Amino acid sequence: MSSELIETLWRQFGIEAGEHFDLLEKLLSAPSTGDAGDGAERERVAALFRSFHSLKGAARAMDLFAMEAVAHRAETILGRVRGGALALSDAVTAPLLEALDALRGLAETATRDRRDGQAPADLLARLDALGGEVAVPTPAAAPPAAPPVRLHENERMLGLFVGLLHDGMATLTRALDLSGLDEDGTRSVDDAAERLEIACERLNFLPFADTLRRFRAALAARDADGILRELQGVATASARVGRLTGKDAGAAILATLLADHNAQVLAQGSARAAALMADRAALAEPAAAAELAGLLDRIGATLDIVRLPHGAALVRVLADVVRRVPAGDHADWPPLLADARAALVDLAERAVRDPAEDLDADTASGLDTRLRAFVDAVSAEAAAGEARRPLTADELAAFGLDPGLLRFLSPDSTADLRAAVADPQTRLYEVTAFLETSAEVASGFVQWLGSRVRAITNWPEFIDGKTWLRVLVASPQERSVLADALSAIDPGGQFLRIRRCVPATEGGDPEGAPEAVERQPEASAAGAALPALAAAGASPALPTMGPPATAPSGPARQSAPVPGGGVLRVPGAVVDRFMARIDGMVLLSGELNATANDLRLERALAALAERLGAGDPDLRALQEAVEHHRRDLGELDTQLSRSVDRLREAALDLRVVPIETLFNQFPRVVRELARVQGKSVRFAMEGGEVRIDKSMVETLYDPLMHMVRNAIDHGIEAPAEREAAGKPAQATLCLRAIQRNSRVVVEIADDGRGIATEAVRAKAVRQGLVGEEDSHRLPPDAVREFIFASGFSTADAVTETSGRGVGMDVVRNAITRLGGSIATRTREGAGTAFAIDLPLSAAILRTLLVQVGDQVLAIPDRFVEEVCGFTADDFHRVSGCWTVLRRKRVLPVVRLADALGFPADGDWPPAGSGQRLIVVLRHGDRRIGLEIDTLLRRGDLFVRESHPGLAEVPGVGGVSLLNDGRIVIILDGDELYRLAAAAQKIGVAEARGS
Amino acid sequence: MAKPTILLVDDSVLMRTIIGDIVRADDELSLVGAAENGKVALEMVKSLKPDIVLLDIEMPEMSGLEVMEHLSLMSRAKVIIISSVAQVGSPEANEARALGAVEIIAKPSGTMSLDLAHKKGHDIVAAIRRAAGLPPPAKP
Repeated sequence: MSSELIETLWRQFGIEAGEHFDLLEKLLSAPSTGDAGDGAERERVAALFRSFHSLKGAARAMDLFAMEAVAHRAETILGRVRGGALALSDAVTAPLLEALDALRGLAETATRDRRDGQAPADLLARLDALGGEVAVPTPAAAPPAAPPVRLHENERMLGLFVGLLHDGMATLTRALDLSGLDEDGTRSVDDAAERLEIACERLNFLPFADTLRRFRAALAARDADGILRELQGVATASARVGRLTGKDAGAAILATLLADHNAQVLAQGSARAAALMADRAALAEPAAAAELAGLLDRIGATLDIVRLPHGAALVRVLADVVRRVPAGDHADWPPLLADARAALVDLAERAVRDPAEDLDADTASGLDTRLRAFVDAVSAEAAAGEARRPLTADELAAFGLDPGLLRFLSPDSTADLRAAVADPQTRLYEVTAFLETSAEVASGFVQWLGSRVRAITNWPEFIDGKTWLRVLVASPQERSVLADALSAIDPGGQFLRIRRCVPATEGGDPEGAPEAVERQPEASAAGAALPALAAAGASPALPTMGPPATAPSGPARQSAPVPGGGVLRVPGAVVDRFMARIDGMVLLSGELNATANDLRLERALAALAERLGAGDPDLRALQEAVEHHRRDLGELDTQLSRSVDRLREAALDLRVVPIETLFNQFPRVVRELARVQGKSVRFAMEGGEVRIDKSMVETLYDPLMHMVRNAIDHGIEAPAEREAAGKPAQATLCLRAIQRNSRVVVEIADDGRGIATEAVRAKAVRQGLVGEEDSHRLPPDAVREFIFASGFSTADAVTETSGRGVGMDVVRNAITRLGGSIATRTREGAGTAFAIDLPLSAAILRTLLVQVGDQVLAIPDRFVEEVCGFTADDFHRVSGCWTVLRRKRVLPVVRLADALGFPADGDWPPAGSGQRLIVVLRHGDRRIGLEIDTLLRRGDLFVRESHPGLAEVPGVGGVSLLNDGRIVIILDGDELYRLAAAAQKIGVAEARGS
Repeated sequence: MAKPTILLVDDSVLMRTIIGDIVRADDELSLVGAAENGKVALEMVKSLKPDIVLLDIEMPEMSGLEVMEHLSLMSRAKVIIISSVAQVGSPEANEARALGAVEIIAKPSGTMSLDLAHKKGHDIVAAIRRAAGLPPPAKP
């Protein structure tokens, strides 16, 4: 489990526990109505129960047994309250509040120190007293007063269906009497079933439809058994529909009509089940056990229909036991099986009496208890096995180990540990490792674990704000030998430390080791690194192990978080919501900006001033006051937008991580690839501290990996070739990050052979990307651009000689999607550098907002060259396309609506006197004009993941919300250009056709 | 063959993370969604059509058993109950079985102990694979 996941779990645990505490506090402090039957009071008890229950589960998941013990007892008490055995009086709430306080304290210790605490014994005893020795079984969740969720959105259709079901039941039961059913009769039964099947399909009641389909198949085959089985299914399903809709779906009729047949099922089923149970040896076969469990399930369902709850419950427990327990040769099993069989035979006989009789409650619950106890005993024994039997704290202490280790020992690792201790040649060591900083250390360490020693178990240890890994290993070697091996992996000695666990029998200080571990939290807070090692009296500290203050790098370098302050843990969703709110504010500020700078206001004021001339001085004064206010508004707007910008940048900081987390994934890959290819590569990383958006780390990984691979595969030469070229045999590959304002440049540079421009040109010509003659006229930069052309990489000849080109189109697309661009610098023989320029966050996109019809659309800013106004006279047709003349160059123009396939209104080509707005879309060197209805403004949008259905629509890159709640469709620049160009071609074709 | 798709329903984000991680660790399973309560779960079942639903029992808004009643009518998904209230023979376990749960297993515990061997052979993955008709998880 990665330490990142562990961090996440602790964070979630802290938040979740906090939420439960707050809720419990509120619920426990609320005045009780005292009326247990009251709906609100019932809900309060249920919520209390759930909350303690969830806390118990969370604590158990995190190995916090003290918390689990307290929460479990509180849950038991609430279970009794819920079952009506106890009233929620002050005498009960007071200890529950105490339990809550204890839980709070334990959770705080746990999240701070990452370890379990101690539950107050007197509190546990008091809670036990309230909970009673034997927990009252909690009743199944009471059916809700009103179904909180509708079975189907369309109430009317549901009503029709229930009616259809009710009416169809009588017809369906005719199938029970096959001999009396002629061809016509069969058809009418089948018709009724088919109608219901179609209705079920339509309402999406798929399993019910399946049952009806099987029923029809059985009817067609005149399979009496099948018909009965499926009709039972119909009865169960319609009872369920009836319960959930509160209407009569005819289940009762069917159940009555099925009564005789149910009796038959019970008789046959239990006879077969009894036969299976009589032959214990045969039952040891999985197939026989599965058949028995299946039969018991069906008998249980039938008993449900004939309303024999005790019998049904017993049969189900029995089915559960048969399924779960490989009972085979367990001594308790034969008598229990015999008794269960007798009860089943008895039950089958009682069930067919008129009226049907259930098992008596005592017999049922007696057997039930025995069955459950049996399951517990068998599973405990199965888990045990002698070597796998859990160790005790004393035994661990005698081995020189911390008793706290108990919870990290699974049955398998317990067996391993026993074996290691029993072997006089083997010694136990505890290795403390930090594997998050250096991939070399991590992989070297993992290799060491796999080859030199036997790892018994491992567990995380929280030291100085970082999660370290502790591994218990067994080895016949001396400590010094192992320490040397570790020093070879981690020459600095910062990340790997080892200590011997000295058994009590070998002298030394038996208490030493556990003590040291116990003392650790306080010592870490005081700033000492790994006191457990320093304090381990029997083993001197590694000579290479320096105190953290002098260590040049490594996990201990950063200062420890101040308890309770310093570092706040906030869930990602909260940050996202916060960003969305800020985004709303950014939009508002944009709107304010538009209002403050509205030219119409300026013009109106100018016109007013002109009109007034030297007229009424009072009016002049008023006009000046308005003018003054307008200027103030403008200034406030400037200040506000600056401050909103700063706020946004500060907020972006919340989502960022050092790019190191991305870079650190590469050293190992580089080493591996270089080794495989027989190349020698020095890998360097720079700028690891530059922080980028977390989402970018994930999206950048693939493109970077691709380029690193390319560099090693094709860019870097073999050592001999390098030496022949007068270069050092070892190549250098460098991954570098540089921050520039709100952008980051990631550079991948190698000193390999560079890109062979001529080879790229020749290949581009071969692939038909450019004409032979044209290709010679292109500057080298433009030629090298072809490596990004889609499909360029499919052939192989060039990549081997020239170095680059594998999948670079994919790389560029990925980077463009992140709002970035990629530039190439290369010199043949000297190397290649790719520079990826990215925004710090992919989540916020600067766009131009435009409107087409009613829809607001956002065009990513970097694709927009400018927006110009033209009149109808400016539009001309040039070789079939509509164009305008812009800066003495012809600009093809299409309607944005046409490009996107939206319904468009208005004239095309433009007519009349009004001004037409054209957004000039930039795509590489090409430009195309998009005619829009209305220009709104520029806007920074917080891109939300778009609905998968919408993402499929061509041209759509995502969606966002304006603060007035309108949805904005964010267009994908590349796709938009493609669509616009295509729309224009259609225009040309149509013009030719007409 | 397409990987079996799995929807996870649990009101605890912690449990969703832990169980999600366990499921994702198996390459032959595909976790397609996680719901925090029964209502959301029913919506997600409709849109995602998972093959298997991992369901908690104790949840606010709508308990796992109520969810199962709906599921038993509207979805072909196999339901695996992951809950500590559903021990053998408990009323909840019986009810869940009656409603068609294919497996009932306890919530994961001791997640923090990094015992990979233990984690890999986790009951949850084993139960899902049984329900999906896949061979049992390989022993590490």
